[in-house]
Order: sequence, then structure tokens, then C-alpha cells
Amino acid sequence: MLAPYIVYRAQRVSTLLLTIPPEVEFRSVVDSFAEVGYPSLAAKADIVSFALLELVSNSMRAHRERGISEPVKVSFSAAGSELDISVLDAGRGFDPRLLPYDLDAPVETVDLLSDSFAEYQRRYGGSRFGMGLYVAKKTFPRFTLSFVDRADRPCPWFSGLVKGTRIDLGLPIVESGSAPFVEARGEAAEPAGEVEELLPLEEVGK
Amino acid sequence: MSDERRGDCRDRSFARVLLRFRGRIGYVADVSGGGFRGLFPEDFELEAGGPIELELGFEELGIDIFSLSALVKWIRRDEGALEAGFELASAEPRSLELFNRIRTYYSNPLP
Repeated sequence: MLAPYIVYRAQRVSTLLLTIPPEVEFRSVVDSFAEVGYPSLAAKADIVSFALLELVSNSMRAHRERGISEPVKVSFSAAGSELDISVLDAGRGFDPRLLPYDLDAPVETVDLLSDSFAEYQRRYGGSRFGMGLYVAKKTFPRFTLSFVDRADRPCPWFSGLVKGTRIDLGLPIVESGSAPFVEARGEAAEPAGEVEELLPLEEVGK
Repeated sequence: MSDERRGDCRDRSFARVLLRFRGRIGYVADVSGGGFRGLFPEDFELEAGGPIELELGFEELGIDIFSLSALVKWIRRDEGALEAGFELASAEPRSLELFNRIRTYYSNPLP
């Protein structure tokens, strides 16, 4: 069986790193995600990308609000039976108690019509749904959020050492019989190992 | 799906705009002047033909969450997800103006 791979801009790769400066226009980030072709997954590819874009949007906002110039990093790996994705930012984390639901609760128990969501929306002047983490939890069977210190080591929110947030996600890769193994948005070349992509495009580094 | 998507103009309007309908969260895709495709990660009861009230938000442009009247033109259920085509013929002018700002943002080429 062909080993699973990711397609990015016509290259087959086993890992992909998108490095996103917080000041780039969001539509360029959206365009980059539209170039990612996933292995056949237990979820629709568009929904996977949309859920990731919610997380990246949250991270970019945190960087901008705090004047942090470090990039947000999104890494993909299709080396095993799961598509592994991690989103790492340096946005100084957030108080989980301010979310409109319990982040540790099973996602199916979250009531999106509850008063806490309406209150959250009011608190942010009607600009936020408060759904970014929720949709990621809903989309990815494996979801782990941790706060990290300057060495990217996990640390508790109340430690005073939080530099950023790391979200690890996993989604099973499924075999698709004789159908194309990868949902690609571009023609796939031979496997090229790893790709590191630094946005915007003129700063590509491989 | 691969071949279907290649060269498909839908990808040019692959957007990231949150959509809410009766507590269900979805995404706006394939934006055009007359409407858009809505993509919801989970299936739920929704029928073609009826007018509904959606909520959209797009923080990147400083657009607060707003209501948008739309007509459900078609429904497709696939892999546990629900896709719907929404027509904006009945939307209020102010809501249409906000929607068109989002559409313009995604339509214009990057500088």
C-alpha cells in the first residue's frame, strides 16, 4: 500500500510546516490552506481546513493584540495511521475559564444555544462566536491543548510562565480502495520528503 | 474528488467565514454575488426552499456578527456533513453590504 502523504503545491510530502507571520493578510493564509491536499480522512477535507483556519485566526489575533512578531506555526505529518497536526503560537495563552464552555468536557455535551455563548458574544462586543476551539474539538477525535513556556515545554496556565498555546490534533487516515489516495488541489509530484513553507510566498524556504 | 476539484473555480473563493444557524456552526464557501455555499460539519434538519435567518461574522474585517436572510436553494448530505446553497435575494441592504465586503475581500487578488 502506498504510504500516506500530503500534497502541497504539487509536491507530495510526509510533513509540512506552515510558518505564518501574524501581520500577513488572512486571505493569503486561506489561500495557502487551499493548497493543502490531505490523505483520505475520516472527515471532509474542507471541514478540516476550516477548523484549522479558526485556530490560526485565534492565534494570529493573539499575536497582533500583544504585538508579538513571532510566527504562528502549523505542522502536518502523515507518517502514521493518523494525520497529525499541531498549531503552535506565542500568543501568551488565555484563561480557559473565560471560554463559554468547559474545554475539558466532551464536545457533544456543549450546548451552543446556552446563555454562556450569548454572554461571551456580548463580552466581545458581538465580534466573536467563541467557537474556534469548539469546532476543532468537534472535527478532530484527538484534541489536546496545552500552554507552553519559552522552551515550548508544557506549563500550567497559572504558572506565570506561559509563552503560548500548543494544540495537537489527530484524525484517522482511511484507505480509499482504488480511489485517489490524496485529495489534492494540484497535480502531485513524487514524494519529496519534507517541506517547510514560510508565508508570505516570497519568503518561501524549503 | 481530486479531479473534480482541480481547476474548479470554487477554490478561488475558499474563504473562512463563520456561519451560525440555530446554534449550528458552519462555514461560508464559494461566495458569489447572489449567494454562497454553506458547509456544516454535522447533518441536521434543514430543507431546501425555505427562507432562513443566518448569522455571519468576519472579525478580520472588523465586521461584527450580523444576521442575513437567505433562501435555501439546495441541500447535499455527504460523509456526515451538510452542504447547502444559499441565495441572498431577500437579504436586507445593510446585511448585503456587509456580505459584499467579505466577498470583495476574497475576490480581489493579493497585492
